[in-house]
Amino acid sequence: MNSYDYIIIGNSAAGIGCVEGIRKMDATGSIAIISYEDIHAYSRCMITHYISGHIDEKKMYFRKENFYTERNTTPYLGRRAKKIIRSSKIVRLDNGEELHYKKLLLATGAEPAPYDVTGNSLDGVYFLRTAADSEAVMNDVVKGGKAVILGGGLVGMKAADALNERGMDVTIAIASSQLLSQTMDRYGADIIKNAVESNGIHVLTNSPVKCILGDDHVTGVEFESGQTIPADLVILAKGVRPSTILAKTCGIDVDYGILVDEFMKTSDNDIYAAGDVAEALDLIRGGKVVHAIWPNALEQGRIAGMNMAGAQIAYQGGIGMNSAEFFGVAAISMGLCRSRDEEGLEVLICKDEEKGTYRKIVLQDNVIVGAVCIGNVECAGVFNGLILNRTDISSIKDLLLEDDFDYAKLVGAGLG
Amino acid sequence: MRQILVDLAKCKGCRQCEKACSNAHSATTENSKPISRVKVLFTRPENGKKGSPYPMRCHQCEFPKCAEACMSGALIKTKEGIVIHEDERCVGCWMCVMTCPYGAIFRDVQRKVVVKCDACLHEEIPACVAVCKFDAMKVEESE
Ligand SMILES: Cc1cc2nc3c(=O)[nH]c(=O)nc-3n(C[C@H](O)[C@H](O)[C@H](O)COP(=O)(O)OP(=O)(O)OC[C@H]3O[C@@H](n4cnc5c(N)ncnc54)[C@H](O)[C@@H]3O)c2cc1C
Ligand code: SF4
Ligand code: SF4
Repeated sequence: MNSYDYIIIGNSAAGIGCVEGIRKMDATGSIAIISYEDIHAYSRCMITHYISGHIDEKKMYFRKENFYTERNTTPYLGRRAKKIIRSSKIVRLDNGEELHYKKLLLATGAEPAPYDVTGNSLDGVYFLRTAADSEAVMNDVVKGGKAVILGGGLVGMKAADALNERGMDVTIAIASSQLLSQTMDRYGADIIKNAVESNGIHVLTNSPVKCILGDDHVTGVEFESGQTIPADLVILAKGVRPSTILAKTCGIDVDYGILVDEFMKTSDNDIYAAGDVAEALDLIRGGKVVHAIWPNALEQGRIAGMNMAGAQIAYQGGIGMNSAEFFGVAAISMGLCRSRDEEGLEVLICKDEEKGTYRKIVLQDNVIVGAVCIGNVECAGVFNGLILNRTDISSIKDLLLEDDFDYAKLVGAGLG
Repeated sequence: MRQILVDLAKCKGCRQCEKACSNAHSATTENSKPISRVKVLFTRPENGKKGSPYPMRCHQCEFPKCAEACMSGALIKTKEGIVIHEDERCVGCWMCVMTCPYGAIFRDVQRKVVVKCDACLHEEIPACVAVCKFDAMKVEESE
């Protein structure tokens, strides 16, 4: 049986972050990394850019092709981990092979939330999570055809953008009244809605789906209202849920995600978890939460790796944050910034409708807990740093909405 | 690794470093205007006058937030300890802009990529350090 000092299940942001973390501490320990996807480490966030035709497959790789050899890491690609036997520290793969670990990382990420609606398995109806999904969608793109995206989160929006670019007639349909309703506030979402609509993408709000129509191949979508629209391609983009099955069946503590302590360790001393699958410390509200975003996955993976290799580095906690550009409108949101989060908090806002800029800062006892920047996003990172450091901004509060707010204002106030 | 250090007491805010930096990086910018990777910022204005200058540049962080947030792998911390950026991989998502706590990543809106300080690794002395008449910028090489 092959035996490794470290085994990582998951070859994406958290898994690769973990390899990098381990190698910061331990240059020689043996590492194996397992993924059921038979492809070099690629970025899920880039698969819509692949569909749009902006990049080829290799540009989806977020680390060089010699990554594994340079870090003396054995990849098991195209292999699914089926079972973890904790008593003997073994991972069993789908081909029956068993691997022994000293420390194990679960970085199994997330999977599309099931969408229970009639017609969801017709040809031409896709989830969009993996490179394989994007390949399938690519092959079904018909210029001039009609695409319907069910869901208006970041993935749905990025998919709409990509298919629009490929010349499809795109409609985004959402059950709620606001795009990006999990991450953006209403005003910001409206700016983005205007941008996508004026570039030819249709947005149907308050439109819960009744069923997806078609015999073999999809032909349309019917809404609860009775309205029907034609469709040649449908993307189900209703969000994700953590892939916790391995963790659950081996008996470690799982809530919504796999519960980890500040060192990214699970309820088993030799098993860690990171990324979209991990329920970890929430920086703003305390408690544990899954913030399923790329930067958190990479950072958590790196910290888990360093700790697996003997360090004692505590995770500071994560915040939700997102950045994207839609048709020239740069939009960043972070922390507690949705309209429904604002209750009991202080909110500072400035906007310039002509320039299309918008800035909102959400404060709790003079500490920034959320921000939105649209158009002019240059100082978003400074706000981000202030959130993470829980800086008391009383002395610079009057400057936060200024056009030229920047890092020097912190330095000048002794906060740099 | 190479660090560019600033002596704030000596900086006069003349912004020559900005010019030198954008010139030094003008070869790769196609049609868009070269952008400096160092920016002379000013602290809060006082009595109607500009505040004190603060030449803001990348700190080449040990655990760079920008690179951890970069979803394309365009930003990578090299063995030399410098965080470098590859234009061809960048998709202009601004995740790095959102996470750099100094604001040391700059958007090239025309090309839809970002630019950042590369410490002029291929030059003996970084352009900003070479041009500074007041000795406010210094380069330090360490193991
Ligand atoms: C289209 C799209 C766009 C996105 N855009 C953004 C964005 O702009 N910004 C942002 O912050 N986030 C974005 N995200 C989210 C981001 O991709 C995730 O947060 C990130 O990929 C999480 O990384 P992870 O390593 O935790 O898990 P995942 O990326 O989900 O990877 C899980 C890994 O585990 C493997 N695996 C799972 N189970 C097993 C098993 N049993 N055996 C073997 N291998 C297994 C998988 O093959 C994979 O390698 C986007 C996601 C999608 C789908
Ligand atoms: S760009 Fe910002 S986050 Fe990245 S290394 Fe430089 S200072 Fe650090
Ligand atoms: S803008 Fe470019 S460098 Fe910055 S995070 Fe996005 S892809 Fe990476």
